[in-house]
Amino acid sequence: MAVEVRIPTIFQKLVGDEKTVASEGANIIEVLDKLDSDYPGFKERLTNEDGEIHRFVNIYVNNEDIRYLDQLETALSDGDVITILPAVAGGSI
Amino acid sequence: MALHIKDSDQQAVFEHSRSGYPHEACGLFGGNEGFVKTFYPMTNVAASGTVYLLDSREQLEVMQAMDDAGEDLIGIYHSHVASEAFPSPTDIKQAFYPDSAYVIVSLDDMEKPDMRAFMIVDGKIGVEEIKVIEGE
Ligand SMILES: [Zn+2]
Repeated sequence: MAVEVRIPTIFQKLVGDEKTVASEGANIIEVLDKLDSDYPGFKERLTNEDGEIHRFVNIYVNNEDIRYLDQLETALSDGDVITILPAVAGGSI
Repeated sequence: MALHIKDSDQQAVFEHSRSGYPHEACGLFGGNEGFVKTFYPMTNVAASGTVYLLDSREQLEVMQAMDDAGEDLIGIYHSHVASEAFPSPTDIKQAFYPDSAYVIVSLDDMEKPDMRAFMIVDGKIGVEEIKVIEGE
């Protein structure tokens, strides 16, 4: 499946300063693998040691957070738009 | 570059902080070139007095609304309910928006909240001046 991936500012350096890149895959994990082979180091910025998405990274497929879909297994269709956004978080301690 | 915010928006942020108490309150500022055009109050899904986390879906919706309005994300605000308006270790570790000012409102004195702004880039804190503009 051919998809469009929207890249947040803090990761744009990893993809040659692009805001949007084209990628492909049947699900999110395949897209991340493809992005990682195109832009080495990309995947490790988004995932933890267990290969799960970092808790402060949000990934959306057509505006739906994949946490509420099938997470990394979320199936994709041609033309889907994947948005990656860092969470907005913090605290006082 | 200083962060410019209208007096009425600053008052709205203070009111939002107070109404979120005892939890931390949070929100986003859309605007251009350091001028806040729109204050977007947001939900703290952590519902905590020591932690804030934006709702992921609300975050995307608001960021898209900013895009549609031709605004950039120029500020990310949250309140500290009982400590000074300075980035905590958690704030520094979880600062993923280097282009945005981090605005902290201290409710240490409920009657007179203290608002300060910082740029947080690669773990380093820079003070950002806040200029309050008179009027609505
Ligand atoms: Zn904080």
